[in-house]
Order: sequence, then structure tokens, then C-alpha cells
Amino acid sequence: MRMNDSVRVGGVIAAIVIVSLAVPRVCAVPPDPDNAALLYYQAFLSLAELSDEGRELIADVARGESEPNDAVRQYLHKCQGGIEFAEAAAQVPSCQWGLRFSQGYEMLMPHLAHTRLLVYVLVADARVRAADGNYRGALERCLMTETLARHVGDETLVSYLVSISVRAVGYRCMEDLIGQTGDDAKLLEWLEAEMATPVGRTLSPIQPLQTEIDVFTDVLRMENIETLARVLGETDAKTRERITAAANEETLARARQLYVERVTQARSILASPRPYEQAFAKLEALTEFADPNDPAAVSVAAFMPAIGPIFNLTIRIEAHANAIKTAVAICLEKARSGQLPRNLPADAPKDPYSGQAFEYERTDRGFVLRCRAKELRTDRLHEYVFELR
Amino acid sequence: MNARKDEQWLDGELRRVINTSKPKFDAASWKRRHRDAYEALLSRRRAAPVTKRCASCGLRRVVGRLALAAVIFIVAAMALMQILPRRQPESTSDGAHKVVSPADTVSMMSLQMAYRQGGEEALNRKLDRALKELGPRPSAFSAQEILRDLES
Repeated sequence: MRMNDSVRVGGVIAAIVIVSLAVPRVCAVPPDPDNAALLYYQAFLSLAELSDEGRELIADVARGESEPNDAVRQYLHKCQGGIEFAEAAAQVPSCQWGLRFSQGYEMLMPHLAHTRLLVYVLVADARVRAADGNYRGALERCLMTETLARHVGDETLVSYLVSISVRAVGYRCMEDLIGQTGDDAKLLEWLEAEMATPVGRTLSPIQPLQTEIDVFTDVLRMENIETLARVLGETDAKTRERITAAANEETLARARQLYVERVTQARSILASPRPYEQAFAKLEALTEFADPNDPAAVSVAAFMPAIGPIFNLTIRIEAHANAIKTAVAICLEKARSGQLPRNLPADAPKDPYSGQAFEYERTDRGFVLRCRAKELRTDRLHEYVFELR
Repeated sequence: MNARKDEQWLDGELRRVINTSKPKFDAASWKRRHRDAYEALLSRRRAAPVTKRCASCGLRRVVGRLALAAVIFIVAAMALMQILPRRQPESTSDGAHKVVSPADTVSMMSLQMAYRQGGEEALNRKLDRALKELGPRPSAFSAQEILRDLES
């Protein structure tokens, strides 16, 4: 009897041990977020509350229009918590901002405003680090803007435009810093490898144009006529009333069809590789309409994305990225040989405006990379100046 | 015979039948005729003089009536607000869409319009303005502060 009891107790203890070993241990500390957006939102909350002057000063330093001074250093010190959250976010591949696409055209995107401040803080910090001689740290900050831009994403056209502007701020800083790294071949090799590593999908306006189709064909319906009127007659209440009174399902159905046709054509032009000039001309033609009095055409014209200028921004940022990569290759060659190369490296990335290699000019203070064709519509010829230390 | 003459004739007849002169109250004769009632009234006045308490009762009545009037006014105003159609946001003189909430400055519609009208620079300006509008952000706080707030 006593034997049976002790066997039973032993069995219970053994069962408890087996169950406690078999059941996976529940960790007391939850893991860090696997969504970068959650970390960015915390970064936005942790940035110091700056005065208008403080914000402008940080933006000026980030753009290279002002030298870093004590005031900027103090501001950045206060923003350190936010910077640390951004650093953590940059390590997380996935980023979902939690936008409410169900709201259609009325959807709010407040994160975009805060993103601009965050990028200025990061790049101003890069400039301060460079001023202190920490070029590796400064370039790391610049590369963070590339990740931030990818995280901002291209779910909507506005997000895509902000992501381009984030990249542009980072590239401008890199343009100023690359020549200042001296002949530090190790640092330049690291930078070259970082820039060559493809990080996720390349952002393009193709995906946001699909979002545009989904959102705007919904606006071009009688049940959303108030929103349509608000867009078309934004500045004039009488125009809005006239639109609301005159709209009918037949006109809107024609407008929807025309809109989908045009934007789909734009997507296919952007998706197929063709020379810049040719693609630009085709995209610009899509925003022209034969009959300016046709109400369907008027509605579509008002909603058609400014495809030509957006395409220009896409090519401009690509040219800037290629110029930076080419400059790194040039500086690396200088670091190895002791002097600037006479010609561009054979495998240097091309100028996307002309499809040819950049025009390379050595100057007294460094070198210049110049595009070989002008940007259409703005008539600008882009060039990138690299001053050597 | 017209209608007006008819009325004059009717007035005369009425005056003859009922006394239409203005009545005069003769207090002295009334006191004499109703001596008991008069004495009772005098004694009641002596027994219950006007006190402060009664004055406050009067004040309370006035306040009560005012409160009742205010409640009726508020209920009527709320009912009117429900009945009247809501006004749509109007455009401002500078043509910008009148925003209901600061967050509306960062709606997809608002940002797209900014880009359409002024390109990249206008979009960036709009976002910078939104940042000002959407601030300030909460300042830092510590666990000690929360405890202090809870204890107080």
C-alpha cells in the first residue's frame, strides 16, 4: 500500500517534470517590434520639441546651408532618443505604417510630415559627425536615409514623392562628404559595398499608380460626387455646386474608363525600358485631351497624376545615386593610386538622362560629374560637384 | 343706416343696461362693513412679519425660474442644431480648403493637391506646415511623475 502511494507520487512528479520540459518556455520579456513603422512612430514621439527656429536650423545644417554650431549640437543631443529609435527601425526589414486605405482620398498620412523632420535630424547628425572627423559614422547616418526612404515606401504617390525627397537629402550630404574622406580606402570600400548591396525592392511610381486607379475610380462615382466637386472646384464654391448639379452616372462612367486607360498606359510605359526622352514624351502625351470641354475629360485631367514631373523626379534621383556610386569608385581609385583617374571606371553607372557615362571633369578642388542630356520640361542639366580634402 | 351708427346705438343701450363707469374702491366703507375680516387681516400681518427667510425663498424662486428658462433654451438650441442641415466646409478667401481638423492637412487629398498646384516644393512646404500644426508632441515624463500624480 505504502509502496503504491510512493509510486503514485513519483509518477505525478515525473509527469510535472516532463510537461514543464515539453511546453515551450514563455519568455517574460516580449520581443522588439518586427514592424519598423512602430519604431519610427516612437522615434517621432521621442524627438525633442523644437521651436520653428530650431527646426529651420536643423534643416539648414542637413542641407549643408549652415555649418553645425553649438545650438545644433544641443538640439541633436535632445533628439538622441528619436535617433536611437530610427537606428533600431533601420534594422527591421518590414515596415507597415497602418494607413487606412478604406478612407480612400480622405486617408490621413501624418507620418510623412514627421518623416521629414526625422530625416533632417539624421542628416544634420551626419554633418556634425563629419565635422568631428567621424566620417564612417556620418556616412552610416546617410545610408540610414536610404533605408528610411524604402520604409516610407511607394504605396501612394505622395509616399513615393516623400521617399524621393528623403533620398535626395541623404545624397546631397554624401556628395559633400565623399571627397572629404581623404584616402581612406577601407572606408570607401565599405561604402561601395554598402551602396552595391540591393536592399529590398526598388521603389518606383508603378505601384502607386495602381493605388491611384483604385482610389480615384472610386471618387469618380455619383455617391462620392461631393469629394469630386471639392477637388475640381477647390477654390470656388459655385463651381462645386455646378459640378454637383451637372454630374451624372454616364459622364462619370466615361471618366472612369478614360482614367483607367491613361494610367494603365502610363504604368506600362514606366515598366518597359526605353530612352528617357522617348518615355517622357509618351507620358506627357497621356495628360493631353482632345476636347477640353468634355466633362469626362475635364474630370480625368484634374485627377491625372503629374506623370511627366514624377518621372523626372524618378530619373533625377537615379542620376544622383549613380553619380554618388561613380564618385565613390573615383575616390577609391585615387586612394589606391594616389591620384584622380584620367577616365571613369569602365563599369561606372550611367547617366540615366542620356544612357551614357557621366561627363567627368577634373577641377582644381576635385571633380565634377555631369549629365549629358538636359532634363525635359525644366531644361536643367544636372551636375554633381565633389571637392577633395 | 350704416354699420358705425349701429355700433353707437349698441353702445348706448349697453351703458343704459350695465354700469360702465370706472369702479372706485371706498376703503373706509369696506372696513366698516367687513370689520371682522379687516381685524383678521391686521392680526395675521402682525403675527408673520416679512423675514429674511422669505426673502431668500423669493430669490430661490427667481433663480429656479432662470434655471428652468436656461434648460429650455439649451434643449431648444440642441434640437435646432439637430434639425438644421450641417453646413459643408467652405473655401477660404485664399482658395485653400478650409480644414476641420489640423490632421486634415495631411490627408491624401490635401497632399496630392499641394503637389499638383506647386510640385515638390509645395508638397514639402505643406508637410512642414503640418508638422507645426500637429505638434506639440508630449514631453518626456518619468515613472516618478506618474506616481506623484496618482498620489496627489
